[in-house]
Parts: sequence; structure tokens; C-alpha cells
Amino acid sequence: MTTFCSDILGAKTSERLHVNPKTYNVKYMITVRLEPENRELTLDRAATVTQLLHKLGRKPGRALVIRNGGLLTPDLNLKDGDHVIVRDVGSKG
Amino acid sequence: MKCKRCQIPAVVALPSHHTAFCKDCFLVFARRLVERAIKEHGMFTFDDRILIAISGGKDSLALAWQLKDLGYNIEGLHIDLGIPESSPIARAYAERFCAANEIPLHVIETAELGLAMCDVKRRVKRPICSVCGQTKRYLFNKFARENGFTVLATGHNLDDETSRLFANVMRWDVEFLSDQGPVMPAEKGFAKKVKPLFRLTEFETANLCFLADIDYGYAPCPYSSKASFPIYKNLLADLEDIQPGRKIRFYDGFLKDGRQGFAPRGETSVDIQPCTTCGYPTSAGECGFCRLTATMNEDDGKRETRNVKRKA
Repeated sequence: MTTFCSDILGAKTSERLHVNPKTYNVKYMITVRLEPENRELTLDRAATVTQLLHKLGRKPGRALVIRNGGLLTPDLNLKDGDHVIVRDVGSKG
Repeated sequence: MKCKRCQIPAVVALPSHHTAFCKDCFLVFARRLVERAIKEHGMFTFDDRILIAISGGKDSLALAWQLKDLGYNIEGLHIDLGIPESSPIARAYAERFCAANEIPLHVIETAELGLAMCDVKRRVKRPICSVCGQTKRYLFNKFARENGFTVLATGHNLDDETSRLFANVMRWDVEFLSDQGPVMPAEKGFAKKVKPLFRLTEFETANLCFLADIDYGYAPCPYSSKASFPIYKNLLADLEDIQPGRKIRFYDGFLKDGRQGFAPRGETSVDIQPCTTCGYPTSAGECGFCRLTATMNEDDGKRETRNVKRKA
């Protein structure tokens, strides 16, 4: 049976918790580093870049999404085990 | 998603332009936006000596990179603001970038002038962003004029310009609305100021930096949390999500049809005179920079007196 970490934890975004995929057979575990905060978190059920940004509360035109040193457009699919950087572009002073 | 020009997979999607680009085509697109801004508004020519205000952030580095790539005669000026948490980092980015791109870089340390922003913040009651902005404008202008630069270029982008315009409209600030634009002519002691990135959004300059391998600083200023412009930026960004292209049409429309409606009052209501202390143009006898310097010196004097009394 497939279990999602959000089912286990009752949270939409498992931001505070790093779930071991082997233990829970979790699908689409994406590791995200948020910049400029330099905070790392793990998300599930983000099959595309658009879904990932939505889960993070961000919009496509306000953050760069980077995987393996390359930029991703919002329509692209993500794979289980992907490591991506989401870099906000808005200057804050 | 494919590149609109060459049909290979795109790396940047731009809904406001109804398009998407691969790396090479995006760099062409960005270069053309900058060239169009320079040409349309007569910003400068290849004969001009251009001073670029370089903070170490994405916009100023993208601007310096693009103008260098286009072959303009540029030098950079970085102002080290003396904020322990952020200034050394920003300065290091500026110095690394200029060294790698063979751009001469000048550095002014406000601490050497007795104006380290960490000290100013403690002692001056005005909002620190306002004091800091005023200090930077003064130093950039003074350096440009005293060192023979014909143009001062800053990295203000479309989001900066539209949020400022939005804020000015919300206040119906006629003075600012009358002279807001991508070019401020050289007059009354002010150097000519230009904003060649005004057609690019923050998102586009961030993409430009990434694709051109420009390593920029993105840590925010620790004092900027109370700045009001991000509020307007976010409101406009929300509008842009619903109506892609709204920001550039708002700004272009203002330049074409709106600004002229404010000009007559703007020309007559402010009397600019040289500062009585330093000669910098100001609307109030002594300029803000000289008043700030005097305030800081006064405080230093009082502190020294207190220390002498304590020791006695």
C-alpha cells in the first residue's frame, strides 16, 4: 500500500519533517533548498514544478527553480528523489 | 515548453511576453531589451564615461555585465555601508565580479566618513532606509561629477519602477510623478542618471544572472524589513499573475501619456539651490547629507564629553 507522508503526518507540507521513503513507501519525495533562507525541506506529491511552487506558496514568475545546475520551466515534471533549489527573486532591500 | 525562436527545450517561461526561451535566446532577448531602453530614451552613447552603482546584488551586476558585453565604457562604484551583517558580503560579491569581468571598481566606505549605517540607525530617528538611500544618492552623484563621468547608471528594474510609480500614485505625489522615468538629465548639480534595466523584471534579471554565470548576493539587508516598496511590489506581482504584461503597460503608458500631466507643477514648485556647506543641490539650505554628518559629529562630541567626565 502506498502511503504519503502528508497522510501519516496530517500535514499538507511536511516541511518540518524528513520522512524516510523506505519506511513509509512514500511517492515523489522531493528535497528542496529554499534560498535565500538556506532552509532545506522535503515535499511529497509534487509531480511538476508548478505543483512544487504551489505547495511552497510561490508563483512561477517570482522564483527560479534549479535542478542539477539547470533552470526548470513550470510545466516540467519532477522525479522521485529530485533535489531542487527554489530561489526567490524579489529583492528585499 | 519550447523556445519560441529556435524550438529547442526552453529554460525560461515569460507569460508577460507570451513566450519562452532557451539559454542563448533568452540572453539575446535580455540584451535587446537593454539596447531598446538605451536607444529609445537616449540614455548614453559609446563616447560616454558611465559610472555604474554596484551593490553586489543581481540587478547591478546584471547591468554591469550587459553594458560591458555591449562594449560601453563603464566603471563601478560600490558603497560599503558599514552594516556588519551584510556589507562585507555584498562588497565581496561586487569585488569578485568586477575582478573577473575586468571592470574598474571604486569603493567608498561610509564608516570612514563617520556614517556607518549601524551607527546611523542607532542615533537617527528617521527611517534608516530613507537615510541610507539619501546617503547613497549623494555619494554616487558626487563621485560621478568629481571624476568626470557623464552618466550614472543604476540597476533599477521594472518591478522597482512600477512599485515606485504605484506608491507615488497612491499618494498623488505630484513632484515625484512629474520627474519619474528611466532618464534624469544632468542639471542643477545633478549627474545624468539612467536606468537601462527598466524593461526587465526582477525575474528576468535573476534569470539573466543565472544564465550568464553571474554570482550575486541575495541576502537581504537586515534593516529592510520595514521598507514599504515590497508591499507595492507584491500587489503588482499579484496583478501580473492575473493579467500578464500589466506592469510594463502600466509603466510605458505612464511615460507616454501620464507623466506629462504632472510636469508643469513639478517644474515650478521646488527651488533647487546649492547646499550652503558642500554645494550639493538641495531644496533646503543645507543638504540632507551635511545635516546627517553634523548630527553624527554632534553626537560624537557629546559622547566624548561624557567619557571625559566619567574618567574625571
